[in-house]
Amino acid sequence: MRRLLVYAGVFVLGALVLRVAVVPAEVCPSVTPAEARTAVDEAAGWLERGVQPGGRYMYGYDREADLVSLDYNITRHAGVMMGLYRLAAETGDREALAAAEHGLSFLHANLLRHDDWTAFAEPGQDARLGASALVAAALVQRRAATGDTGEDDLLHGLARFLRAQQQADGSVLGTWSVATERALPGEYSTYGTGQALWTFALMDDLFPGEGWDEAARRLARFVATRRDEVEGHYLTFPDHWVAYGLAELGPEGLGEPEVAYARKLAGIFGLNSRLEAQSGEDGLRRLLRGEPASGAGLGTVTEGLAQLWRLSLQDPRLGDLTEDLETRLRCTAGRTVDRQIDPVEAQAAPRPLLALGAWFSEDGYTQMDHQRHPLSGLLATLPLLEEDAR
Amino acid sequence: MNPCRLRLVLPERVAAVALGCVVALGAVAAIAALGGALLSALDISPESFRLGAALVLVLEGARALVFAWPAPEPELAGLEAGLVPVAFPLLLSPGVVALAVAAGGDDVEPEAVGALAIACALTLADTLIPRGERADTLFVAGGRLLAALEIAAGVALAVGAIGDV
Repeated sequence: MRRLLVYAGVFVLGALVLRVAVVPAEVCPSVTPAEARTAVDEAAGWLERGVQPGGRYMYGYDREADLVSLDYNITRHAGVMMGLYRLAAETGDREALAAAEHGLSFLHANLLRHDDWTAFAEPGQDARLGASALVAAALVQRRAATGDTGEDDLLHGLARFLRAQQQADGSVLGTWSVATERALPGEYSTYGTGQALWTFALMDDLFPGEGWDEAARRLARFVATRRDEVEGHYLTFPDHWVAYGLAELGPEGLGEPEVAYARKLAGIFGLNSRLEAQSGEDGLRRLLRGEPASGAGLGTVTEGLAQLWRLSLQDPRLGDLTEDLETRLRCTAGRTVDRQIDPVEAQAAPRPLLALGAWFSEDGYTQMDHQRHPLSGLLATLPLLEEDAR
Repeated sequence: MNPCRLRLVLPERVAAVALGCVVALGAVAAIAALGGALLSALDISPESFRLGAALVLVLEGARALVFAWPAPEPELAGLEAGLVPVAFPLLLSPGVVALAVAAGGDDVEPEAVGALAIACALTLADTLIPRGERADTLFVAGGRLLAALEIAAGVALAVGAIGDV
């Protein structure tokens, strides 16, 4: 009997260890469409209040030290423009459009022209793939928001830069060197590849017949079949930009390798979403799962899940993922809204307007992409939440 | 469940082993039936729990690989040996219970009970083989092989759970 009790004790103890260390509760606050819309508006408000002279935006804010960051990053500048233009295109938000337009002057002042292409790069700096790809995506969203064709030449120039970086195997090199006037061989961009894929797909939608579909399909095939190996990722790299690209290409643009890859991408975003939902700000959750994801982390997972959900609705080959993607998407969206600084919490910051609508890391810091990613992720989740509410 | 390794500690009474199998099958069916509700109550997604079950399988397999000869278990007299030690702790091991819960979460309860039924049938068949030095050597080797397969199954389960949304 004593031995039996020992066995039972080991069983119970093992179950407790499993519960605490391996499968803690996944906390998924519920979220309504109205709450998500408010969160989007507050996030956009943070970006809109951050417009700076010279077409820049406020980069970051440390509420513990009450310091505004003087850093800058042109890829994130492009991301802010893209997010605000997309918000304006989808909701007609005039303030968002005005703030996005504000960023154009910084773009125009930082262009590198070579041969027939144009890149978004600061003077004297090498041209990075991601900045040009993302700002081209922003100009496509601008077209949708305004109908204005005035930036089409620049848009084509930027897209030609991406195409000039494309290799015979479909991959795109991450950097063009000012010193050598050549693309740096073997150097890839962490997110630039996915951003270029999305931009090629957007370009084909906007300017069909110009051959952008071929560039997109070649890059999609590289991503689906070789990218992780070439870039040294053991698991599928959770690139939300690729999710945007695949969703934009849609069922007609995807072969079986791309569909198989989309499935793997959904899996890795699902895993990240579950692990994030197990994390917490204190106690054993903090100890065992580490710091909860930043606003950018939450936002990118939401963006990735939302784009793949959108694709799964269009492509019957991925239809079996829809329900699970919806479950993960609701959870991540709920956590994202829950973690945003609301008006009451903002009052505790030295400068409440620099905190309102933001997502802060544990160290009390936030920066533009911590707002931009959740904004885009929640915006893309709204159709699901609205459908739930019906 | 490792029929070869179990043979080294199971009672020689076939009726007790058969009763233990019936009890274990009933328990696994009940656990699997409640598994989904249990995971939901604990706010655990089925995919996450599968990762946990995979870890249990790997640890259990590693233990069986290292300690190929299980320690003898005290047993109740007569048919009651079907409850202790056959059903518990031998058949209802942590790995079996974890898999039953995972099966409930994934709505594959019949498959889980079916798999256990096959394992029980193999265990019962093993009891028909008389113990002896040569037979025990084979059971130890078979136990190690199945332990390695249990580890491989755990790894496969984990990979599947990672790949699922």
